[in-house]
Amino acid sequence: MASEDSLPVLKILVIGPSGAGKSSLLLRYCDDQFDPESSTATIGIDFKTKKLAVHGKGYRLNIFDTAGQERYRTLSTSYYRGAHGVIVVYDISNRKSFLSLDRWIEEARSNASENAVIYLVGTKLDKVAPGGTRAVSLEEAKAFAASQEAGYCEVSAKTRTNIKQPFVDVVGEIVQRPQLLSGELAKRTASSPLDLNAGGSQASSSYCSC
Amino acid sequence: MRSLSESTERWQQTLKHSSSFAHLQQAVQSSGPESPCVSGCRSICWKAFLLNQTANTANWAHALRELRSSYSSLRDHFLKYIKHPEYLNAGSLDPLADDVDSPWNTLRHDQTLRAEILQDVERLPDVPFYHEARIQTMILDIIFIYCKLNPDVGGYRQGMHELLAPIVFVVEQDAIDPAAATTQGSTELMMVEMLDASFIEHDSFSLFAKVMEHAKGFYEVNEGLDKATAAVSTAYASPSTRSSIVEKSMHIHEVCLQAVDPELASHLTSIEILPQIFLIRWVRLLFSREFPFEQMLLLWDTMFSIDPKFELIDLICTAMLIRIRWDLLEADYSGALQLLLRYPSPEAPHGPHTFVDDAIYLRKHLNSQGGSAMIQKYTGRHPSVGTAAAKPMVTSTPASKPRLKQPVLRPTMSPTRFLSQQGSVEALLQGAAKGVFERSEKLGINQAVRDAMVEIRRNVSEAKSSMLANRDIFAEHGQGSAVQAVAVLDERNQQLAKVVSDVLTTLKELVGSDLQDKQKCSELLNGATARLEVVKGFLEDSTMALPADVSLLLQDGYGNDTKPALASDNGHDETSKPSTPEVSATGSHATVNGIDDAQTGTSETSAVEPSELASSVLETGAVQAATNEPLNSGTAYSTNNAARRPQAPNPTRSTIAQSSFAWMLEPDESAASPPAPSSTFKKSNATSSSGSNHRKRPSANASRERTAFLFGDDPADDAGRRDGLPEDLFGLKPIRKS
Repeated sequence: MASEDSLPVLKILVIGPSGAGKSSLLLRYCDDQFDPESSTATIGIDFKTKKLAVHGKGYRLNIFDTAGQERYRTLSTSYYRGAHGVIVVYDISNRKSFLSLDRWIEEARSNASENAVIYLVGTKLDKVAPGGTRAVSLEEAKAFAASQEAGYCEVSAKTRTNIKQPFVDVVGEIVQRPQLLSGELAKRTASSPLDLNAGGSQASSSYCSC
Repeated sequence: MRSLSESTERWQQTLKHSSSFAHLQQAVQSSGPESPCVSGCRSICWKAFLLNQTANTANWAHALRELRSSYSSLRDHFLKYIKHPEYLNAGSLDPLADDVDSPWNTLRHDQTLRAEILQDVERLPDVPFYHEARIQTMILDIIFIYCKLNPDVGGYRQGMHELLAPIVFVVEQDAIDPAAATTQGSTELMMVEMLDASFIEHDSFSLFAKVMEHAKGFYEVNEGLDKATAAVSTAYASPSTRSSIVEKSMHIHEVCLQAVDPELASHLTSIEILPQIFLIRWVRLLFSREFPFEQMLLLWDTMFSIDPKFELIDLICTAMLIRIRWDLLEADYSGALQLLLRYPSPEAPHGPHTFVDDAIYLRKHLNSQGGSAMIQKYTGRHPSVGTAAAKPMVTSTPASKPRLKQPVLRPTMSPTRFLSQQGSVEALLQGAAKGVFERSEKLGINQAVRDAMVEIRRNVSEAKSSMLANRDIFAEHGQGSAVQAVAVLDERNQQLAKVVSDVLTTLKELVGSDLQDKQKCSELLNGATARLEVVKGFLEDSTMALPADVSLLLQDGYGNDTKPALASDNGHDETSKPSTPEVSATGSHATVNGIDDAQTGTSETSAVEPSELASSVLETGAVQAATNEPLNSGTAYSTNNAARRPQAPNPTRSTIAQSSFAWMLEPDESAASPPAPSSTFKKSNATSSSGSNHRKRPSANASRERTAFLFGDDPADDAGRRDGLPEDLFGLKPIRKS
């Protein structure tokens, strides 16, 4: 317990339209499980925790999985408070889910702290590759992410493809932002101050280029 | 589907218990193998509880017939074009017409709604039954029709499908094919009708609609505000702009749990757990995800039988929290969330249905005694009652958990003991005030006396906040000095109680008199209120020494000597008080309404019958194993002597503002001046929180801000609860001058 407690804690929210595969992404990443049959709709919020090392430094991620239908209205800003990163998830085989991203990103921006890292993830890569029909091309998705100044990555929870990448990228970016860490994180980790410059220079280029 | 003989056997088993409604309830509550829900037809019991509220079997079939026929018409109406799109083509309507009411347009919207529902229905939990195609279609149709019929719910809300699915399962399980049934007697005839397989969908809809009638509040969202306003104002939003489930979650944490297990409530606050994170799912799904399927059905049996309106749900959540309180107390943020979102399955014989029994118990004993009796029952351990040494965990948190923003949010130093004092003062005042109220009601001097009682009420709640503030002081001293301080406070309380009881005597006499001499009446009232003001002053600031001879206060009706000093001492903002008695009446109206608004939840869920007030005080006292002294009205006045009986604190209520007794002070709904107050109240609230209160009690404010920050929602709400009593509107000053 003691060693885990000393890890800096990062709060990551996962949001996005219903059925995009948020819970499956987390289930695969945190517990390495995938169950095509029973992925029940998340009601309200779920919570998972995972340790992750980026640039040789350990972090403890507190990851909040949000129901696709749940809006900030229910959860209020208190839910976003202190979030270091927000991962916005959509389904690359579903055009409508891509089109709803504007709204989700706007919600994240208006509720999370202004320095919070926003990151875009396209799911269900296994459904469209190889040769399957994508509803959103990689170029289009990347361009959209760039226009939002967000990192981007496509994953498959079923095949494990890139499943760790979004989290590595988000944490890498978070540690680049001293403003973000000086607030919430510094307080939380007063006993083990985070070396903000450690491994910093490489992190910015670590965005997945899949 | 069961064989006919088994169905008949089960039907008979069910009827055996239906000699009366109470009998049926009782039989179900046992939740053993002989429960008619287990050995008989569960669907029949649910229908009896939810749809009929009677054990009269003749009525069952009759009511069911009507419900079925009304569902058939609904189905025909709403599913007409969905099931038969060809009807639309047959018409002469232009599919591309720009008319919003065009059936084509409606159909497109309906299909969007159905797609949204289907997405969740397809991923219902892993029960094979739920994944049969005909069942999924049935669930989809039922929810769709429900949403069309209840547009106020705001469309399909995730979670409804998991409320409906078990209902469909239960109804389908009991169903019999009428064609296969050879009808012999009238009983069998009725059985076949009640369990007719061709009406599974109809009956499931009726049951679901009934459940939703009381559960839909859990699904409400406030989408009315535009985003910009919401983003800016959420932190300070009034309660009404937040969704009711968040309100409910806060109520469960800050009122219910705080009352029965203040230590756990403080712990959850200090590790910054937002209650809605786990309560949204608990409450919206009626706990169906928290327990294994069979256990969940037993829980629902009990809930439907005795609490079909889900008024106990707050206390069921509370009971669940205190059942795992020891684990929670040791858990950090993520550990606690994991526990709460993956609730440890309770073991037989204390399965989930026993949470309902717990809730019923807690409703009668909504205090820390009730809580510790519960904890003792299930864990064999007693929560530490008011000893700092026994539970250093929370106070030592700052050192071990640097994430805490405020080192000591609510010091656990003797909370119970302090609460117990407040509790007894409150009980005393409330009990007495109630008597006066009832009598005065008859004599038509409600308003004057009501003013006095609102004053009493306010005083007590302020006394509480000042005591809360004082806890910090005690926390710095050792155990011994705290005990001393408590003893001194006790002494003070008793002396003040003497004054109050004297005032009450005066008021009672006033009520008893024939009221002919108006002059004398108002004199007496003035005297009484003035003395209450003095008491208030002392209660507000517990550091202020009482006059050596309190009996002076008893004799001097006006308390003129002490009053001015008090006023300046406390920084009263005299000028902001209204100057006419009329305004004061409105003011107190507003106060009462305000309190009532904020507390509707409480009074609904934990309402205690007025006649039970006294008895519940006695009962809870009796629960305390350590208490061997008989409690009578005499001890009720003196039991706040914690030093004398430190192990047996009195029945408490966490704060008066959170109590369920608010209704007692509520003016007649039909009284002359109801509508205006709301604006008056807001204004006065603003005045009092920005004005005198800030100067007066900085420490209380500080703690309020801390709390608000940690709860993360809004200080405004807290302000409303604790300071929402507009003293500035309380026009005592002019009366006193006259």
